[in-house]
Amino acid sequence: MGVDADGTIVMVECKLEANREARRMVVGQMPEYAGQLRGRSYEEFEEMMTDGPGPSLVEIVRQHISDEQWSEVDFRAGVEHGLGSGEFRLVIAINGMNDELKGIVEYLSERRVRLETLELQRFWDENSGIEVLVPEMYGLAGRPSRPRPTEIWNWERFERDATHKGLGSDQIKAIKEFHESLPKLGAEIKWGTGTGSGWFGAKWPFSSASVVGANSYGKLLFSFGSLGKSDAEKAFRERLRELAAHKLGLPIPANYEKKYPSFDFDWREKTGLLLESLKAILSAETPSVA
Amino acid sequence: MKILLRHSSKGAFHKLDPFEFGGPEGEKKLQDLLENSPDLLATEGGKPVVFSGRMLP
Repeated sequence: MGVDADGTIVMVECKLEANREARRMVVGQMPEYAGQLRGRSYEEFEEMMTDGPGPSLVEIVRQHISDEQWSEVDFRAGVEHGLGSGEFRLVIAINGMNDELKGIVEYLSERRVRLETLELQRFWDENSGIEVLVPEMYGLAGRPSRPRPTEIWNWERFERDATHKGLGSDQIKAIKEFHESLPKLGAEIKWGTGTGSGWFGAKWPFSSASVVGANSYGKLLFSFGSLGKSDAEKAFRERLRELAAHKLGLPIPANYEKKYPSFDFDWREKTGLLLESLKAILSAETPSVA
Repeated sequence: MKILLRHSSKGAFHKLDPFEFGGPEGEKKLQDLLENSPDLLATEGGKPVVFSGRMLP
């Protein structure tokens, strides 16, 4: 399994061209794997992709990209969208394409079933030690490109998207109260740029990124993984954990320092408590944080 | 497909040998290539795909 910087999940089955039966079987295996993965949570997917005590999935992906506009929250939203909708990139990696497999891929592609084949041919020179890898993709032509954001998110778009996603008007009203109260706590509102869902987060002057927010699915978001670049960030991260775990009763994971958890949240009942608790930890006696 | 190679200071190209993926570890060799080369299966925007090598149960 793999994942790209946009959070698109990629499932790859490796097969040898010589194994004719395996080649046929793989066409049935891919939908089976996709069906098994659909409906899993972000945390389950992250557990599959990482070693428990090692770097988080976000940290691993960040090591491979140089895009300064890349956002952990958009990445996570992309993964969650894929897991929820079952929209995965399915790829067969094979050491040599043949007419039979090519015919299957073309047939499926014409019927809007997205199955790609990556042919990998490798050559080497024994004397110099030089290796050459020649990759060729089949089945990409029919694959629709993921739509790029055409407009920045704002409250109006967020509200429309939340309504479209089935969030109740009372929940949206409470999230709006949260959104409008954050600047009064000294925060700058940051908006996401993803296409699957919208989010906003609160960024304070002491933090390098937004640290708490909401998405248009109605989830409460924490970006613990973005806090840790300074002592002020680390101190706030710990207080934010205490707020989430003890004041709000949320199941914060043990290795929360690297995580970006999201939670179903009763905004109608708990927005007031959330705002009061944030105000309290912001005014705690750490001059560089206040 | 053939791949021919030469050093720019020399005259003749010579053919590279195809790497054989066969044998019991053949599929594992393909998997290792993907895991170790995030740019191999890039997206439309050229962004790399990070693989874990994990399999669904």
